Amino acid sequence: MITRRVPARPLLGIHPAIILAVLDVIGLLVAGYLSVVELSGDVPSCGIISGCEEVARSPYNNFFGIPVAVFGVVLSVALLSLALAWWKTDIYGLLLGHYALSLVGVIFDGWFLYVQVFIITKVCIWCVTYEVSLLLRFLIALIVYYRQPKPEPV
Amino acid sequence: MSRATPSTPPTRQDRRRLELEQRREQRRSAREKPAASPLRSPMVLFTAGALIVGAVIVGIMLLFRPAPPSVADLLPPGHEIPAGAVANGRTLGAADAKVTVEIWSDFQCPACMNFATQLEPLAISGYVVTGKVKLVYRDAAFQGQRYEYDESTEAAAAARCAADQGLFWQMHNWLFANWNGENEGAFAADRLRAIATAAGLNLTTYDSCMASGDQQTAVRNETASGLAAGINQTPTLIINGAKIVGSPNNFADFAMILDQAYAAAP
Repeated sequence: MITRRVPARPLLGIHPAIILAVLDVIGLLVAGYLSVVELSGDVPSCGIISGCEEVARSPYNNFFGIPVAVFGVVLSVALLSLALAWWKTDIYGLLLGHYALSLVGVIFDGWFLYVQVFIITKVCIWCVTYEVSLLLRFLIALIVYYRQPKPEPV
Repeated sequence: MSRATPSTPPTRQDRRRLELEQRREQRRSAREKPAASPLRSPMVLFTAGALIVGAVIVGIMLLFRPAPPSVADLLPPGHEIPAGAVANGRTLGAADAKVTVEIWSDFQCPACMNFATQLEPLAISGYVVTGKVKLVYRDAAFQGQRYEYDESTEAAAAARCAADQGLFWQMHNWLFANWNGENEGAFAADRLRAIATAAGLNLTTYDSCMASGDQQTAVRNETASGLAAGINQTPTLIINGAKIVGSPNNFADFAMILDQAYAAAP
């Protein structure tokens, strides 16, 4: 059933996958910037808003020695691939895949936001931007799912 | 040639009958078709899968979450302050010592770390304990200035808070023993706290001292006054008024400078 092709119902006059892809690119740019800066041994700049340095230097910002932002890049690339593939093929399962993968990201980001607020007690605006973009992607995928005609069971 | 007669439009009754017929048909087919279990819906399966994967990832993060730095993670200093060296705040040595060595230093600077761990202990045992020389520590906390969390200023403030408890030189030794790169978190707040614990400080007093921000302001002021006086490199030694930029190469050189200063002192 998930491999069936179901024409997408437009959202704001365009294929919803385009909206998801735009948000995926925004997430990819944010996570990409953080990854490049952190892998080069520097810390991201927050401008007038403080908190990025503390979060970047926190041991919580690493998962088995890899900066969390790198996982953000991997997640964004995977989500972007799913969105583009759905746009081109209208295969129903790709929308569900985007929804489920963004839900995994939202759960992780919920944990990371908790760490920032209650453990590090500093919030990194770059991380929050990524978290908001991911939450939007999850919500849009969910809304699109409910608006989308469902494939008939075989 | 016959012409087709136009069909008469359906009456309201016809339409009503058709609707009822369609509804009856829908109900019949609904009865015949077994209801799909919601648990077999792909949406439910994808959601459950995502929740499980998300929970596993967060579980792993919780399991491997970093412990706050503790004293056990720190390196002890290679030397102690000898009993014969009298400490008074940031001064070490007899008040009437003929030679005063002002050490303008930054706890983050590698050359300062080398001076403090290699030459200073020998100078303390050879010159301070004997009453010839007194050391006065001065803050030239430059290295962290461009960072939001300025590790140089925070480390220097922590040392001043230790001075308030009569433990400046112990804290000084623990800080330099745990130097680990510049602006890389060696003197992050939780590590400084662990270093303060190791140096024997009362943590409640230390915490309120650090939180007040007064010592950080004092560090910045002294750094600025040093800059105004031409101290723009660390370490810089002022020995009885004579400025030496950088650390002497070895203890023999340093001892010679101290001997000359002692001989020249009134």
